Amino acid sequence: MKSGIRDTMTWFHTWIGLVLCWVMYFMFVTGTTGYFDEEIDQYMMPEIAHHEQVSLESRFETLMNYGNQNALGAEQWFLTPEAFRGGMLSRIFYRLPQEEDPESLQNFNITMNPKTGESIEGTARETAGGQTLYRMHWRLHYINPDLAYYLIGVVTLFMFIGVVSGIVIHRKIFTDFFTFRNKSNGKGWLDAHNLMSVSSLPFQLMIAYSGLLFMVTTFLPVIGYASYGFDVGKTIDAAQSLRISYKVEASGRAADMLAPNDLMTSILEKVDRDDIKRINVKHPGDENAVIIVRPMESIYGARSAEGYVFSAVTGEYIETLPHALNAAMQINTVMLDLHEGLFAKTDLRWLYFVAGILGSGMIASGSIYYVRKRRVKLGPNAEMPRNLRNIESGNIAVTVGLMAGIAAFFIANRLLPVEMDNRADWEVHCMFIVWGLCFVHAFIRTNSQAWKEQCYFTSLLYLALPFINGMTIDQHLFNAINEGNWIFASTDLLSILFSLIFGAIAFQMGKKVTLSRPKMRTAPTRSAMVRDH
Amino acid sequence: MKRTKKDAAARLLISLVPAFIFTNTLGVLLTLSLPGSKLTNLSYVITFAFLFYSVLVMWVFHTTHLKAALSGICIGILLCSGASYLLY
Repeated sequence: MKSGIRDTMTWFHTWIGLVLCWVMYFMFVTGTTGYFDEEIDQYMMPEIAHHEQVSLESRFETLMNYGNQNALGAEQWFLTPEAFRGGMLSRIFYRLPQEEDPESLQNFNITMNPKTGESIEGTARETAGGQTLYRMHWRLHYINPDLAYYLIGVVTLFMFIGVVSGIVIHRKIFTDFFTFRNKSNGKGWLDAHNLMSVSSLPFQLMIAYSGLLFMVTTFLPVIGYASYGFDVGKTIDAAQSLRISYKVEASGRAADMLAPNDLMTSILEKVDRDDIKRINVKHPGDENAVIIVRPMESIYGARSAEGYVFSAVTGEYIETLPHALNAAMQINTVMLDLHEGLFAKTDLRWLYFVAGILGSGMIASGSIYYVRKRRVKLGPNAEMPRNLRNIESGNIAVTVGLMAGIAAFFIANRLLPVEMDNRADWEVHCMFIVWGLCFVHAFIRTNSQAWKEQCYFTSLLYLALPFINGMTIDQHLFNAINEGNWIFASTDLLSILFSLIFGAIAFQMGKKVTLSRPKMRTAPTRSAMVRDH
Repeated sequence: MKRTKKDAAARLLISLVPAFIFTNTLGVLLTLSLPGSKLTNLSYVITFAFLFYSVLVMWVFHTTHLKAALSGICIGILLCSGASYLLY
């Protein structure tokens, strides 16, 4: 029988949603934390006075001096004046030939205090930090990164199709957007799903398609490879030519670079100081040494920003590199930059965060609606089929349990002994242990009990975080506000907000349980409780 | 609408293998045949290839005649591969 496009897309949307929603939810939640990854890094290294201010000139001078003393043999330096957004630390990355094997290069990634020029290694506690949490959204954890990458690629493809098919099936998209049916027939979850999807639709489309663009060379390498006659060298050259870079050869003649302050004066004549995030020094200490600054402003991040090139020896401005090779590469790189949001200042970063939460909510509400709709169809007295019950148990463990796991990750950072071996790994282990326990709990309790108990548990964990923070370090909430340490203060406040949200949900669910209890004359069976709630 | 598990699995398989190969072969053909330099064509193709692939997957899941769809995709692969070979 011939079906209309809306019928087939509804079927498709439902099933890809059901099969992939848990992985997508994990990707969305961990990916959303990525918009504050560097802030989380700072929160998880409380030994550093991140909130202290250091001027761009001082940071640049410290980094250049460090490079001059330790890395003149490197081909290039990558300087990050603010190693963690808004924080005090600075970073230099370079590669030097290894002593034992000069053919292979050793990476040096030095994060330092710009006031002293000393590495922070040994000063700050070992932590997985925000970077590990955010990298999970494409590397997952505990599985081979390559396998995870392919898996995430397929999920991202189906997520993009899921968003597009979601648009196709909503003929009355605006009517749906303004509809909310808070009734016990489960339609409220559909309306919540629609509301969250439509309100963040451009973000969902952008994030899914740009996610695919990250993987284009991994998933579609044949296009480039075959177009260049299966010649690896030519294909790599072509791939490199797609990105704009400044090509300069070292002269082989040593030359002193201009004093950092004078170099910065030249840079600031062309570039706004707030937009300077990364500085690249090519061939340091050579007569042809250049400095390339890519200001991240507007929608242009690390990939699509223009590049301002200066001579590192004279400070003279040389040229401006364009945004991209052509219109297609501009779309490509801007999409990637939009995905990463590196150009975003704090206000826009919050908007990204809210959009990420809406995306997570969209996936969670969709998966909950799937179960509710089928439960309503079964009728009030029918027993819930085992597979449907299992799906709901999984929904509870994933949607609420993951949030509990993340709270445990933060708490572990404060409670694990500072001198502990493999401390960073154990922070992550704590997250997955708590999440795993939530899975066990969701499957051994009735669904209504599991929802309520896990929400209370998660609420408790988030409420505990500011207290544990206050007990273990001196930067408790009031102290942080007093000192203007807004990263610490807002993390604690956000934690309290999450606690209130999960507490309110648990309280509502508890009320429902209490209201429906008098109807039961005998001790409720597991299936009866599932039915009732 | 109802679809059997076998039908769904067949559509998934067609999406992941023949449709994927068709996207690649069409990409190669467009890179070689569009006016403009090969590098410029490649940049357009890699930017929009996933858009085409997504639409193709949606079509595979929508179409009623699965065998005809599979045949169409296979013919497309052969034609694109042959034409690319001749153009290179």
